[in-house]
Amino acid sequence: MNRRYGIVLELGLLLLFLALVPVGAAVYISNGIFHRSIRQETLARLDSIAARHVETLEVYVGNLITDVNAYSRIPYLAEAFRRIGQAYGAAGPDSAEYRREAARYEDFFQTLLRDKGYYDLLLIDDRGEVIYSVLKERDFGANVRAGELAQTSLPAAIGAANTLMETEVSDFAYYPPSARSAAFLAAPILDGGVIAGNLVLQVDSSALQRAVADLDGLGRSGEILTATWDKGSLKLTGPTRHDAHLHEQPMADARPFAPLVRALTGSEGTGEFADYRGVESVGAWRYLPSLNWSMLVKVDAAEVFASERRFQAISAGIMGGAALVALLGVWLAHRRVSRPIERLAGTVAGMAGSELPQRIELAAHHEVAALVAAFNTLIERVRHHQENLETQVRERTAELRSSNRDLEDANRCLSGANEELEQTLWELRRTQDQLVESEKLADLGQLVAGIAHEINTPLGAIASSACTLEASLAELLPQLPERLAALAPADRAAILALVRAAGDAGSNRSFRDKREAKKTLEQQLAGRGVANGRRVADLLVGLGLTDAGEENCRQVLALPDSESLLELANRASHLVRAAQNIAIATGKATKVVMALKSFARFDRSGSKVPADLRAGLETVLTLYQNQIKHRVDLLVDYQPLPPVPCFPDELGQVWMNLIQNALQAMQFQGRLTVELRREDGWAVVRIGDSGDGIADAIRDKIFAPFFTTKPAGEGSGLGLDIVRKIVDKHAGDIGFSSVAGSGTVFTVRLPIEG
Amino acid sequence: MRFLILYLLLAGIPAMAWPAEGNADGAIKVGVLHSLSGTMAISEQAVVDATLLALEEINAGGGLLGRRVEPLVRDGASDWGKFAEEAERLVVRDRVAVVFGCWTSASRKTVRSVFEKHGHLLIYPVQYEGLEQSPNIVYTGAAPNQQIIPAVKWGLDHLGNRFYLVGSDYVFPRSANEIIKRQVQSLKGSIVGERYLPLGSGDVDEIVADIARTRPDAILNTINGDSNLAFFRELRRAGITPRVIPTVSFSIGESELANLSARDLAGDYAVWNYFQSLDSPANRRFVAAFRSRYGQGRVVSDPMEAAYFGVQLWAQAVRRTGSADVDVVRNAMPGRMVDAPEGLVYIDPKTRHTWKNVRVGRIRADGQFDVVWSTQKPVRPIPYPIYLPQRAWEGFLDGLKAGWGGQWARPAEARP
Repeated sequence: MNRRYGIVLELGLLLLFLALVPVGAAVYISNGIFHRSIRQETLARLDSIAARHVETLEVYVGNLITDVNAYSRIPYLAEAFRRIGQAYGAAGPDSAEYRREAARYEDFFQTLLRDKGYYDLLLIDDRGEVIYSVLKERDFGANVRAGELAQTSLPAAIGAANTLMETEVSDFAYYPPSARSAAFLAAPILDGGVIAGNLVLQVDSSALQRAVADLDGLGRSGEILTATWDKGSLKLTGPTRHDAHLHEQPMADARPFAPLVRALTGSEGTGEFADYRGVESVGAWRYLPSLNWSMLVKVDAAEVFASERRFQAISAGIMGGAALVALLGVWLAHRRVSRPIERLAGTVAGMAGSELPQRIELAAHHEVAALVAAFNTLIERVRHHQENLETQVRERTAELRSSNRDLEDANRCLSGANEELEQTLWELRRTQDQLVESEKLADLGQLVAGIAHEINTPLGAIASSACTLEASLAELLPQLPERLAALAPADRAAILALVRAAGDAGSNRSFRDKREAKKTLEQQLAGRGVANGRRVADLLVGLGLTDAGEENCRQVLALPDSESLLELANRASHLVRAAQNIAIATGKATKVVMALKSFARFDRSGSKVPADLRAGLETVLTLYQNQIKHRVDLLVDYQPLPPVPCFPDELGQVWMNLIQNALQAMQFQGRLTVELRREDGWAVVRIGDSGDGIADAIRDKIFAPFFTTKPAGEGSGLGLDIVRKIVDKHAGDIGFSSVAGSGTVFTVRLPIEG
Repeated sequence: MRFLILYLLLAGIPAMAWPAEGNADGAIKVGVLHSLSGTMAISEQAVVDATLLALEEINAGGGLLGRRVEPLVRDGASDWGKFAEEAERLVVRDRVAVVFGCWTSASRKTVRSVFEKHGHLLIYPVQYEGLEQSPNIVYTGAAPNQQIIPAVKWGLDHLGNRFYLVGSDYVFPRSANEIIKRQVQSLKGSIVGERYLPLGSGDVDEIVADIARTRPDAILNTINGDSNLAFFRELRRAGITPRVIPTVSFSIGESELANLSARDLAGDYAVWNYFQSLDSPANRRFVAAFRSRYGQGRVVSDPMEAAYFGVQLWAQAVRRTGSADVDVVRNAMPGRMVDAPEGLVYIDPKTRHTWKNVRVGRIRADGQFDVVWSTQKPVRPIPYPIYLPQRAWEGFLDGLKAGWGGQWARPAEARP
């Protein structure tokens, strides 16, 4: 669509649409109604004309029949018939007697004929002889059953009249004696209750055609056709309006007269059809029973629907006018509205790139003129603003320049402040590091107390074992070598074996066990007859024996001074045991020291190293062994894990913090669980306690720096904050689940891969 | 574009409010009044079937004026009082648009006063004795000049001129024979005997014996109902075959033959306007429709055909006037015509009787008829034959009625 014609085209189509659619719809609908109503009215009119004509003809024929009925029953007629018949029978039609008799009734018959307009009157006797005729045509004196007359409709009419005992109306047909079309009304003449002959009145079709020729109400093209069967073909009974000769011959083709045929076969009706001229017609058709005719009243469709055509033509004119008016409206709209607007739009669009014009000069009217004026005002104001704007720009530029200077000054001040802030931040960081260290130291302080105890215990054991060694050596050294030397080598070996076994067995047995063993041994020894059984049993128990039947024991008991030997062995076993105790205590101390050493090592390399998490956990647990071992059940569950890249020292601090918190949460009494698991790509450490759990109120705060539940001075409140920072540094996460009254589990998850 | 759609929608609103043409007042009720029980049921049930067939065809074709036609079928029970009662009910209580009904003249004459009192319309399908004309009755059966009179003339021309009259003792045979007697006389024939037996009676021995004695040239039989069975059996037993003395019957059609023994009657004659064996497109359609509706073994007869086209004529009057109102339709009935199975029929405006062809048929052993004589065009109905003036005929009927104690048939012992 051309941009220039856009609005006009759309407007034009719309106007055309609005103008034509309602009118068109109204025309279409009213034309339909109009057509139906014309059609119905015409059909009704034609039908009523047909009914009127049928009635006219029926009444006419009915009157004829009534007349004939009446005449046939007049005794005068019967008398005339008898007398004429007798004269005819006796002397023939040419006799004077016949003429005399006929003349007697001539006036009567003449009057009848003249008054009623019949063509002829015949009297026919019971043999079929035409004994009387008013006109005396060829038929007079002939017999209806023979010759020429036998071919006419006369004998059939007489036969039917005598069969049905009524006046019979024959069909119209060509009647040669009269050289014209004729119909006959035949009635039986009863004489004394017996059919003596027939009265026949001959009518020609002119009277009927007169009735049919009344074209009142049929306009310029209307006509009335009547037809009947003539020897199996359809034959019109009179001339048509449009063809004066059509009726002269029977129709070879009855199809153009379909309504007439339908009426003759029992279907009256109305409708449209093409007539014998091929012209579309509207008509009504009926049957005339008295004449056995059919009648068609018809008018050319063109005439009937002429007013409809006119209506259509006028409607078309109106629609054309409406279309023209619509187009005129479009042209006006284009000229007075859309063209000025388009020009205005063009001018305004042209303004975009160039200098502002002085004014827009456009011929326009009404609102468009106002629009142009408004544009000119706008241009004026824009120009005004433009001028103002330049001044303002200069002022503003100066203002901006001064502001800029102020800003530079402020900037300088700010950078000074910034340096101070950086300094402060650095100091804060240092403070924070110090705090972290002090937290660590605080933890260490607590640790150290435990560790001191842990080291003190083995030291005590070593000291007491040393005393035992000293005492035992003092006792044994003077006599043991001699006594052993005095013994047979086998006995010596047995004693030494006992001593070694006693050392291995240790002195860990409970007092009750010892008493049980002593009782058993006493009985065994008594059974063997060993003297001083109680003392011997004591000694044997001291050597860790429970069965006197043991090989070495038996051998020693068999010796003469077995009691003193056992005593020696006993003391010797004390030596062994003391040495063992020292070794154990030393081991324990070494372990603690090693743990401390490993914990204290501080790797500042700054990069992750693969480390065994289990080892880290165990180190911390070792450090806390003192706090755990008495009243805490430690449950550990480690899954095998590959080394995890981490900062082992910092993780150690995490474990220490969590374990310390766990122990504190349950006042060092309860169950501590430590789990190490692999879950997906994560190494998961869970450290749980059976304490009271974490109160709801503080759950959100426990990772906050400086938050602590411990008495003032005991904890820095940085523990879990540090823990979280360390875990974050490992790209892991930490969380906890806590059930009030049944404990807390902290879960630390660390990525296994880097 | 949105505007255009809105515009079209707005334009559619008046279209929705378009005033609809035509109306739908519900079904048009019509009465069907026949004997479904009693001695006449044998004949009348078949007429009911034909009437209902025509009504069903109308409904199958979309009804009348856009309405269905709903038949109300009532049983007159071969009892004339009952006929009057039911007619009153149909007209007054059920407000039917028309009543199709009656067979015997006795029943018709009884209900006539009901229809005349209420200005209603009865369409009567059976051939009868004539001597009647009512503005409230349309007669689709034959008037005497369409059955009796041509039959007598035909009998005189073909069978001889000595006739024996036998009939049931009610108004039709009595009136018919009154006409026959005068006609036979007018044609120089003679009546050798005239006997009646009560409706439904089998007491025929005496009559047959009289016939055997008088040896007429032909018997003119107006016996109605199942008395015919006994009559023909007795005739044959007495050695009277059609070859010896032919019988011309006025009330034996295909329906009756189906119930009598067609073999016994073969060779005898009947006079009607219609025979099932007629060969015309309209008749082939009618017979096929009737058989497909009621069974291939069924036969159709003249009164059935008259009942069938009576419905069609009424429907045509309704269509033509655009109204089912009884007054309107009653006045539109005259002049109606239709291509009936028997040929063109036309309601005579003057007499409200029907223009019909007349046919004489010879009974075949299979219960059908061979047409031996037929008129060439429809015959004008003349209810009052020309032998007597109308008033004289009416006086004759009044005399009969008075003799029967105000009934239209011999009362008491005459009634089965």
